[in-house]
Amino acid sequence: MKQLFLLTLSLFVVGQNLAQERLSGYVQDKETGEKLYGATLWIEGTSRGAHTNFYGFFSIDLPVSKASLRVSHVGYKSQILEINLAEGNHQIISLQPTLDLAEVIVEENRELSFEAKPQISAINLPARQLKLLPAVGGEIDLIRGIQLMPGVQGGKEGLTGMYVRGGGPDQNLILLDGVPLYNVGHLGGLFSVFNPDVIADATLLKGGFPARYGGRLSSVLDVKVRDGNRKQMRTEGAIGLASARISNEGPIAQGRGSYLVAMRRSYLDLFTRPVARIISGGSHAFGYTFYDLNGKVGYDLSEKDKIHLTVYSGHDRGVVNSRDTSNIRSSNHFQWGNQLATVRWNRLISDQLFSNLTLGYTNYNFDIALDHENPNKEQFYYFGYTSGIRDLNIKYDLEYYHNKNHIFRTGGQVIYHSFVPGVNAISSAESQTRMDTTFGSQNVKAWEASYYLEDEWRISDRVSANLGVHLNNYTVEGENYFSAQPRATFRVSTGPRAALKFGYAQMQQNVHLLSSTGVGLPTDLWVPATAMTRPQQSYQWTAGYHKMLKEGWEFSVEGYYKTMTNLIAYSDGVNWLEGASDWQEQIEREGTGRAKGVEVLLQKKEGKWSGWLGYTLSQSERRFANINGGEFFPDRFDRRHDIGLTLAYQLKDNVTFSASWTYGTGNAITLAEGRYAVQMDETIGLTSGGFPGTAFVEHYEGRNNFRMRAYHRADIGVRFTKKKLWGERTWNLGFYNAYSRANPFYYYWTQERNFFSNPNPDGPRVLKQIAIFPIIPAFSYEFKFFSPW
Amino acid sequence: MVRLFIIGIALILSSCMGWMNQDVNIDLPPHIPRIVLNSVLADGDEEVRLNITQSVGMKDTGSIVEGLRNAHIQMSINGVGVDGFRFMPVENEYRVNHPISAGDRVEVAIDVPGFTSVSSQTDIPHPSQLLSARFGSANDGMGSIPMREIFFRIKDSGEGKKYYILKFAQQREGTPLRTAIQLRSNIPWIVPIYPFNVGLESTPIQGESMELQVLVNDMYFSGSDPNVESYLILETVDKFYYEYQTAYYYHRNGQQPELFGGEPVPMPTNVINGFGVFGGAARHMIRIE
Repeated sequence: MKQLFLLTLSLFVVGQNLAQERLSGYVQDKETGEKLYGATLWIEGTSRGAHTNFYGFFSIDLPVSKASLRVSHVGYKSQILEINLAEGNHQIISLQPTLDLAEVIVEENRELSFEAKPQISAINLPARQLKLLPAVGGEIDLIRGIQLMPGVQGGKEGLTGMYVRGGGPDQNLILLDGVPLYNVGHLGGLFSVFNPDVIADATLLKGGFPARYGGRLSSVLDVKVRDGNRKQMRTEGAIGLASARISNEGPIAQGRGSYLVAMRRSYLDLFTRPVARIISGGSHAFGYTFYDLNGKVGYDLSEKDKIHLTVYSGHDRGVVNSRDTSNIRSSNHFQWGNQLATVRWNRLISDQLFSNLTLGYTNYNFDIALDHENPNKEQFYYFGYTSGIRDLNIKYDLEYYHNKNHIFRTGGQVIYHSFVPGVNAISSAESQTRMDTTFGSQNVKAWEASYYLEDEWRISDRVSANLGVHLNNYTVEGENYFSAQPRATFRVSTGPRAALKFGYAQMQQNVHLLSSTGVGLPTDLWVPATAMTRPQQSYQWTAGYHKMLKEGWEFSVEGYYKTMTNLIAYSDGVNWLEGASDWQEQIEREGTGRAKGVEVLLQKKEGKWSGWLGYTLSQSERRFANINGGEFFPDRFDRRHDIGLTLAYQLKDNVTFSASWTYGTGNAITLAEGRYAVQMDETIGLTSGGFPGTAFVEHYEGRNNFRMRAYHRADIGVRFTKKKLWGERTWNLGFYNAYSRANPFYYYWTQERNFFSNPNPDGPRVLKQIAIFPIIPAFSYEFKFFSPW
Repeated sequence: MVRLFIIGIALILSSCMGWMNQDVNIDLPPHIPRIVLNSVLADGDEEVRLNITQSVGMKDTGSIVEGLRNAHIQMSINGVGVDGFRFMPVENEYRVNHPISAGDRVEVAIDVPGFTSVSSQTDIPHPSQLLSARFGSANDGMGSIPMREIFFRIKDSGEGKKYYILKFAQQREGTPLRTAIQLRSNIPWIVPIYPFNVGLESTPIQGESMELQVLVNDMYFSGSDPNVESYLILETVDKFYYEYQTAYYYHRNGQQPELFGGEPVPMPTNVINGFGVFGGAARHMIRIE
């Protein structure tokens, strides 16, 4: 692997000497100085263009030393620059944000649009587009926006689940400034961890993964945190029904750098604590809260060296404290959270060679603890359960703009994983006698080394490709898993602004998620691939047709087929923490999955009207040897038809209306076909008449063999913005499930009742549907303060 | 006016309930009824009791609790045949007098006309010991019902993995001992057993003794009442019965999965060609200080 890396480097050095007529530089926001990811540069009168990388850098070959360059980005006014390389070949290009959507004139050929890139199955959601979505529960949520895109299912209603092309919630590589986050839900998934005020841009890849990505089977969600304002100090925030948030940003060292700090906190505990105290007469308290803390500092060490520090900490915690009259104290709590830190050093080695060194740390942990203390009798008791995963990683990436036909990318990464897949600890003390015990699953340490090589190759004016390979070597418990994962995407132009695209990606994932619910709760257990439990793998083929229509409309249709191997699941009847045995004794392994589908997307990102319409026709199945008789069964969130419609409309300069509508085939459910008497655990001294009489056993013939009724829902939102002397304020009103559709949340069987509502125990059972979310209004108040200095 | 207001509120509530809870029409394939055998034999029992019923389709009419009266039962204990089972209509079960002891192996085969024959077997476990039990403080879960801590020390014999069901029992002066009192635990691997008890495996105890904690409703705290005696009962049960009972808790939750409910949990059975459970148990009881 080392030789391969050196060979690649030497190729770059040789290639450097051959380059000519090149312009490089950065594209940034004119008002804030923030670098813009995904800005496009187009050489007027040619079919050639480029786009900025994650750090806002570009490098483009010009046919002659003088050229007109059109630069654009969603939410910014396009700019045409007359380039004369004799005056310098490095430029900082500043784009002016469009504050008024009506100003946006959607032009054809104004950008290197999506159909012109070889990347397939990509969805980009810039912050400006995200903020136009309806605010559910008073909060605009990145994941809820992504759920409306084709190929992405949201899982259970109300939760921020993400199931991409038949994959599980663990199969999404969610990167915050390049470092993975393991659990992205608060309050059991009702909110995601992404504070909308700090997101600059988010890109979701569902297939055709470039070689630089690895480690998950089904998707990559690459979230870029805003750098902070380099021109002016600014404070903004919002107060909603469930949480409040505030952020502050500004320049450092006269604009050579910037900082951003943001915090979001729920205030549920402000209600629950006093209520619990009143009910208990002051002896008890119960609180639940979550928070997110984001921080980022960017600093230009020199014109060629930039350094970025990103930190994130998010936490959920529920606690019950009590103290009785005899001074006996007890406390119970559960908590989970992510901590993430990354330092990145961008170095522009030459105008063709861009490098980035990343040092990253990410930690996810879930804890339950109870402790009891009786000082009068010198008694102490503690129980704790903890599970989690901690990664340390170092990564080096090189991006080499060889010539107009090739962009090479290469890099390597080493990750040290430390897994705690469920450890119990008990300490007890009584009159000077102390006992400490630790037991449960064994902690596992693992090393992962990966290397990639990628060539973005413009084969001809009509054909381009991105070819690459991702090599991964995972070492755990003396076992070595090596995989060479080929990646390829091809684009063939079929006419003006239209292209056919093809993609293939093989992926390997060295972590698994054991979930008893399948909805991605914090109680789910992250476990490593081990000598006994192999890494999961996927193989995905994708083909699509992409066309840029008139007035900024984008159209795409894609088909995919994906197979997955070495999946794991809890054995039937096993719960997440049941028993104190090792998790490997309680699972089904070597499961397989297959998913196929067709996705259609019609999208308009800019203008007075914007939004998208997505449709997905799909099927997703699983198979385990000991589940469903070893036959394939539908995945829980398999949906045959799925529609997502989003619209945003600027009514006036200060009023924006937004709406979304979603439709999906009912979820696959396991429904009982028979029933029989249960053997209740025996009691002593109780007559049978005192027993709950409705207990029985349901008999299932298969897994997920029935469908619930179809799901559909509309959300609407309105934003009223007003300039104030101190800055700007926005009232954000929203309605969840605007027409109050009774969507099925779950089905259950109940006894048939006669006219007088008396149940008939021997009669046939009646199937009932429960719906839980009617129309829910919500609002939030947002504010922005601008500092005059 | 007040009456009109009340009627209005009632109408709104009624329509809300109708919105939340609606009938669904669905076609089910026909269900083929099977024999259901439910029985637990305990160390020290003087008679064998078998509950033999049948399964019924969800949309079919029929009783799931009424005993099948024409069953032919063949049973052997440690290889010796046991005859004379009689159906007791009041108790709705088959019975025969025969002592059950720890270490017994019991095998049973049942024929009922019109049904596929079923068979099963179980081993009666040896009891494990509770060394001590004491009350702790009251702990208020989410500000609702105050729960009283009970600490108990359990001794594992170390001979293979054991499976326990823990019960809380109380005897008030002049009344018999009763166990139908809700226990629960904050220790995740002490799992709930529907409807009142909790279960645990011996894995954490690792052949030693260990102090653990469970919770009971504070109204059953008898620490200062001389007329009330509280006990903990430790039932050592066979592996299959334990799995059946722990699965049933989640199975029952899965019948109405609510917000974070998971996949429905199919019930295990050790009755070949049928449904139900044929299990064994042994008890040990200790008074709580």
